[in-house]
Amino acid sequence: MTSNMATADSGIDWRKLLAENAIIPALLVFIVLAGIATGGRFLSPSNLTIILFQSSVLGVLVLGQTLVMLVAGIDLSIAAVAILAAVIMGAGGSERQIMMNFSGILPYLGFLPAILIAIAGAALAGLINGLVVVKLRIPAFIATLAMSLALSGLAMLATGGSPVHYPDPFYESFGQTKFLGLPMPIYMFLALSLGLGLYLSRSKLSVQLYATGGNPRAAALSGIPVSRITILAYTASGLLGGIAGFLFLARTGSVAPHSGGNLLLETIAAVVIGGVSLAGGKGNVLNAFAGTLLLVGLSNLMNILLISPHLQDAVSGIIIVVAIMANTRLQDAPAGQ
Amino acid sequence: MSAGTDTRTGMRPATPTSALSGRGRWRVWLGHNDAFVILVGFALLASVISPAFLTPHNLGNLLTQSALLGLLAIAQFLVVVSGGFDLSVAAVMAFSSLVFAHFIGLGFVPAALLAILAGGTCGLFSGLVITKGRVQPLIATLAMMGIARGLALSVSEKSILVNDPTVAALRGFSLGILSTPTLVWFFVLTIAVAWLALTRQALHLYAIGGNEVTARLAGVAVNRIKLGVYVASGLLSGLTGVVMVMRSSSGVPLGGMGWELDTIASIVIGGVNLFGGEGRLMRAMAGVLIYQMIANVMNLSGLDPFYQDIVRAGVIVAAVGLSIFRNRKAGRRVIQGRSA
Repeated sequence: MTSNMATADSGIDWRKLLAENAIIPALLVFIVLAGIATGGRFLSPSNLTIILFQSSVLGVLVLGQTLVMLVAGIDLSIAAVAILAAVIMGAGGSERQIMMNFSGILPYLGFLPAILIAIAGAALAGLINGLVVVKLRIPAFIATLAMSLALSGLAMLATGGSPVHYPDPFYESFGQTKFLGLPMPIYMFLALSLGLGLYLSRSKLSVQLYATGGNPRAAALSGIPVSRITILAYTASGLLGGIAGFLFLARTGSVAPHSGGNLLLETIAAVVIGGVSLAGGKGNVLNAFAGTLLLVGLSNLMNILLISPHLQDAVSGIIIVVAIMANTRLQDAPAGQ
Repeated sequence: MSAGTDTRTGMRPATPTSALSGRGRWRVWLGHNDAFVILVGFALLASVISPAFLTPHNLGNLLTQSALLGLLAIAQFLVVVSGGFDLSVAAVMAFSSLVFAHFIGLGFVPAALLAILAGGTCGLFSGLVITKGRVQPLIATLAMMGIARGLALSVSEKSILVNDPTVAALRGFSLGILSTPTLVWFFVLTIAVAWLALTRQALHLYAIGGNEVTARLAGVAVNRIKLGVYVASGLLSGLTGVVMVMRSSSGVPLGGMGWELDTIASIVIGGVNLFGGEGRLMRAMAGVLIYQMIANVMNLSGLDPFYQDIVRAGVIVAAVGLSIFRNRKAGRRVIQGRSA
């Protein structure tokens, strides 16, 4: 296990490449197996569309989580941010819904103002997370879990605990509108992933982001504004959470203050299955994207095979653990330095 | 660590306190017992505001209400002192309560044993993933939280009512102001305090939490102790599930949502170092009581439960922030002391 691979003349270290992108072949193998297990039903165009459609909310949250994990943080509030944003957009943007909330504190805001306030609020929540983590030096998981608790409380307060069943009809029609056979949320999800992926692969800011996560002291010594980058990552994560809230409403046409339960765990599962390192500085959007598809595809497969949704949560928990253990092994084996 | 006290008992300061001035000694004492002082202050304040507070009945209630959180906090204490976290304690408790409710037909004792065993299995799984799989405790136990909650919900989505004479008897039983949950809590607490004070493993536990590498080099069986800690945490969470059924007469799949954070916050209020290696169990329990009293005051004042969540979030951040601030200050003081 010496570092002889690095000296190989070919220029490309295949083993390292495989170790860092193991999720891609894993996803392909899974797709083939799932196709066989369901007699081809899994691979039908309509089912693949469903998988992409179901991935849209999770996928956008995964982008935010990836950014935060790249700077060696974790955002456990991201699902609560999305749900609160969806509640504000859905209830605050619909006069009919506000009439139904007898005990909620959220007033009618108007359609567009509700969207703006929800998105701005989501970014603000992320900013506060970043400030608490960086300035008060509170561990990220405590700060963001507390933020999650507070935001869930706010979401309950907003509607008095009742679900939002009558958001503005725009959301449902946006979710149903198809372009080239695919619903709009899929395009938003793909565009955001592609945009962030490209941005992270070439911008100067992204270099600073990876450096901050990889070794914050070295980054600070080489003049990178580590604090600002970290706060920025959390803020972006909040913002993406808000956008995910919009997609949530578009996808389901309703939202309940407590509907974010499994979303958080799935976010982390997708990111770590996608090989983003919890220690920071390692990982990319493409792999996280593949991790999302694998996770959603798996739950889709379990649905086809009629496995109960609660058991599915348990299964995803096990998968997270197995994926991380496999990742640790893979990363350790070839590195050896 | 801080001011060189024995982290386990706080009874044998390495730097003799007699060397300090009167004020300095007072300060050190306060630094080590702040949770108790706050607790007494809180109780006095509460009894001034409401004369009903210091009645035996109300104190008994407070203890009963604290018992579940207190039991889980003992589990969390052991894990945090070893340098880890266990975010699955509350979900495992809920799962165990359902196992107990599901198997109550076999009789009280077999059902309770199965429930505790189910908790222990969860702990064993987390522990193996952490020690053998080298996964961070945070993620491993977060995954276990999802697994246990999912298992609980797949046993039953709704609470299961338990109709068992033993459970009913234990529910009605009390020794003075001490209800069954309180008695179980105190019993486990006694064992844990004795274990922490007397055994070599406990010393190793603190050593691992303080510096795992050093502990390993010094010949401590790090992985075995860590595994044991997560199993103990699982078993305790399982026991707490059984106690929860004794309190509410039902297995509750959604019981204890968010309690994993409450346990961490309350032991941190009780002076436990969030990053391991330091903490006293009795002081951590004072933290539990303080945390529970804050909740009580909010309840009594009729604050909307959703606002209570927001206040709780603030208390958690403040408690953790203060503890980190205190650690930093303590660290500086030690370094200054060394250079002087």
